[in-house]
Amino acid sequence: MDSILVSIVEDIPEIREGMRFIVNQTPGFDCLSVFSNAEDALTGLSENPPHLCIMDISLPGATGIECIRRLKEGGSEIQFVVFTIYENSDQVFEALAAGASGYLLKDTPPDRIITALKELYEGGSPMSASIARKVVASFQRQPTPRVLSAREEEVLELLSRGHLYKEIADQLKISTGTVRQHIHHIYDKLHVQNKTEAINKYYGRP
Amino acid sequence: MRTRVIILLLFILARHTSSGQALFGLSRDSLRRAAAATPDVGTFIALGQQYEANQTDSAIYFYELARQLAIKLEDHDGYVRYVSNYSAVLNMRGKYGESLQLNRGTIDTCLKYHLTGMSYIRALLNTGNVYELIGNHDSAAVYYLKVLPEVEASGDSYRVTVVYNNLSGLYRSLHQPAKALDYSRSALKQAQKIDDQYSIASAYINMGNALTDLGRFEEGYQNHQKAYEIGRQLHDSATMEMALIDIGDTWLKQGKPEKYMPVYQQALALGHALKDVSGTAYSQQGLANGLFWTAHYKEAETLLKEAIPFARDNDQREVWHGMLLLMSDVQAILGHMDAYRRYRDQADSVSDLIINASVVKNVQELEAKYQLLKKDLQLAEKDRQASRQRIGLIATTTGIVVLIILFLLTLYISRQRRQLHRLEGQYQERQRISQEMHDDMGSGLTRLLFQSRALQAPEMSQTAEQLIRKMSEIIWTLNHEQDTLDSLIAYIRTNAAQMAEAASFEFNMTSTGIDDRPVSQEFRRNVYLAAKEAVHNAIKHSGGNTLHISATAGDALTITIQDNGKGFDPDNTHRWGNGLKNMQKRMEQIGGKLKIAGATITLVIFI
Repeated sequence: MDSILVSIVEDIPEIREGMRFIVNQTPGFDCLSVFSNAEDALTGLSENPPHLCIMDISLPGATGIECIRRLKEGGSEIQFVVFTIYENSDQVFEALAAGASGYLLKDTPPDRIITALKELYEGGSPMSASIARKVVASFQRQPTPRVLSAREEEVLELLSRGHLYKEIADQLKISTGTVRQHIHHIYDKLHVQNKTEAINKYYGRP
Repeated sequence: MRTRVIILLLFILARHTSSGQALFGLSRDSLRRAAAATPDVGTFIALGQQYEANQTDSAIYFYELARQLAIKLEDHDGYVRYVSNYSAVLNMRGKYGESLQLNRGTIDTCLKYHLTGMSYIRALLNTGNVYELIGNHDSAAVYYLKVLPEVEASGDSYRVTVVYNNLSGLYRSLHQPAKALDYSRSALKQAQKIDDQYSIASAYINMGNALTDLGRFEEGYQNHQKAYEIGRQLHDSATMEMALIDIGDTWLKQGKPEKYMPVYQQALALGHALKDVSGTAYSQQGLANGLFWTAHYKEAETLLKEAIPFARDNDQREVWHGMLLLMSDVQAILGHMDAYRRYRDQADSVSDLIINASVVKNVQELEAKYQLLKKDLQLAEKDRQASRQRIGLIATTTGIVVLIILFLLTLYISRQRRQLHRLEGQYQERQRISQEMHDDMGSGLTRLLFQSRALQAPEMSQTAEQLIRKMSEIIWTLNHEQDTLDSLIAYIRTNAAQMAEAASFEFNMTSTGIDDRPVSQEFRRNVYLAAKEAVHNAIKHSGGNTLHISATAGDALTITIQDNGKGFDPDNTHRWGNGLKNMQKRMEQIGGKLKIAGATITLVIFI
C-alpha cells in the first residue's frame, strides 16, 4: 500500500521539525516536503503535490490562506489542513471558506495528530462550535435552492450549539465517522459559495 | 409551486377571454372558412388559440397572420391581442426575453395611441406575468399594482379577482405574508360577489398559504379545506390536488409525518389521474420525506429509486434536487457511504443546473432591458437636440450655483470624515496590537510546547498546554462576535463535555429558550467562569460519575449543574475551598444569584 504523502508549511523551525518527525515516525505516512513560507510552498506544492498539506496561517509574507486560495483556484486536489493555535480564530473560518478541508490545533498531542490526519485522508473533517455558527451565518445569506441536506443541516445545528461528535453520532444514530463526512461536505459547499460570492462581488451583483 | 398557481390562473383567464368564450364552440374548419372569407384579426387569433395546446407551430403561423393584418389595418387593439397570445407561446417555450420585450412594447403602444380599457389592461397583466415567470417578483408586483386601478375602473369584477389573487401569490414570493393575506381577502370578497367558484377556490388557497406563512396553521388549514370542498363539488381534480398539496405542506412545516403522509398520498392519486407531472413529483417528495422522518429508511429508498428518475425525466428540477439530497441522507444512514457520496454529487450538479437556469432568465431579462434602453436613449437624443438652445442659458446659471453648493458640502463632509477616520484608526490600532500580542504569546507557547516534547519534559508540556488553553479562553472572551447568549451556552457545553470526557464522567446537557440575543462581554465571561468552576468542582470533588447541566432562558438565565456524588454539606466547606468564593464574586458582579442544594448548583441571572 502506498503511504500517505504529507507536506508541512510552517515558519517556526521547532514546530516544523517536530511535525516532520511525527509524520515520518508513523507507518503509512511520509513527509514529502516542508516549506517555511507561502511563496516557496506555492511553487513546491504545485510541482510536487502531496495528499495532505498542513498549512500554518501566520507566515511571513503572503498568508497561508492566500496560498490555499491560489492553489485551489489552480485546481489543486491537495487536502489542506489549517494549522492554528486557537480554534475560535476568524482566520480559521476564512481558510476553510478559501478551500481548506479541516483544521488542526497546534497543541494537539502527537497521537491525536495522526488520528486527525487519517480521518481527513478518509474524507472526514472537524468543526468547532464557533466555526459551525459562522458557517450557519454564511449559508443564511444564500437563497434557494437548498444548499445542505436535512442531515447536514442537523449536524451543523448541533455543532453550533456545542455538542461533541460522539453526542451527535448517538443522537442521529450514525457513527462519528459519518458525522465527519457530513462536515466535509458542508465545507465543500462553503468553498463553492465562497467562490460564487467572490465572483458576484467582482461583477457588482448583490 | 408558485408557477403552478400562475399557470392555473392564466388558464382560467384564457378560458374566460371574451373572444375565446365566443369562439370556443366553433370547429376548426368552420373557423378556417370564416378566416378565408373575411380576414379579421380576431379570427386569426382564435384559430391560433385552437392550435396552441398541441400544434404550437400552427398557432404561431396564425398569430403571425394576425400580426401582419393588425399592422396593415392599423388595428392597435388587434396588435395588442396578438402580442398577448403570441407571448403566451413564447413563455411556454421559455423565450422570456423576447416575450418581455414584446409585452413592454405593447404598453408603449397603448400609451402612444391612448388605448385604454382591455388592451391596456392586457398589456400590463401580461408584462407582470412574464416577470413572475422569470422570478423577478418586484417588477411583477409593480405591473400588477399598476393594472389594479385600471381593472377596478373597468368594472370587470372577474379580472379584479384575478389580479387580487395574483398579487396575493406575488407578495407571498416577496416574503410579505401580511400583504398576501390582505389581497387574498379582497380576492375572496370580489369572487363571492360574482359567485365564480374557481376564483373563490383560488382565493381560499391563497389565504391558506398566507396564513400558513404567518404561522397560523389552524386557520390556514381551514381555508385549504374550503378550497378542497369547492374542488370536490365542481368535480375539479386540479383544485382538489392543489389544496391537498398545500395542506400537506402545512403539516410538513409542522413536522407531523403522520398527518401529511395520507394527504400527500391522496394528492398523488389525483396527480396520477390528471397526468399532472409536477404535482405527482411534489407529492412523491412529500411521502419520501415522511418515510425518512418516521425512520422507514428502506421504504424511503424504494420510493426514491422510482421517484427520482420520474422527476428527472419530467424536468422537475427543484424536486429532483430535493430528492437526491434526501436519498443521500438515506444512504448515509443505511451505511452505504459510496452511494451517499454519489447522490450528494448528483445533487450538487442539479443545483448547478437550477442556478444556471435562473442566470439564463436574468440574462434574458437584462437583454430585453438593454434593447429598450437603447430605444429610450435614441428618443432622448432627438429630444435633447431640439431643446438644446433653450436650455443652454438656464443650465449655465444653475450650474454655477450648484457647483458652489457642492464645493461647500465637500469641505464639510471631508472634515467629518477625517474625524471619523481618526477615531476608527485608533480603535483598529488597539485591536491590531491586541491581536499581535495574542499571536506572539500563542506562538511562543507553541514553540515551548514542541521544545518540551523534543526534550521529553512532560511537566513543561503540560504547563504549556494549560497556558495555551487559558489564552484560547481569553480570545473567546475578548471576541465581540461571540457576545450572544447562544455562543455562551455552546461554549459552556463544549468545555463541560470535554472535561467530563477526560474524567470518564457521563455527561448530559439540555437547553431551552436559548437564542442569539446579545449579552455583554462581562456577563459572558462571569457566567462562563462560574459555570466552569461548578463543573470543575463536580468532577474533581464530588466523587460521583455523572454530570447533568441544564440552561433555561426566559426573563432570567438559569443554569443548574448537578452531579450524583456527595452533596454540599453546609458545615463542610472543604469541598469548595476558594471555588465557592470565586463563584459568589462572579455572580455578584453581574447581579446574579447562586444557590446550592445537595449536589446541585443553580446560577440565576436576569437578562
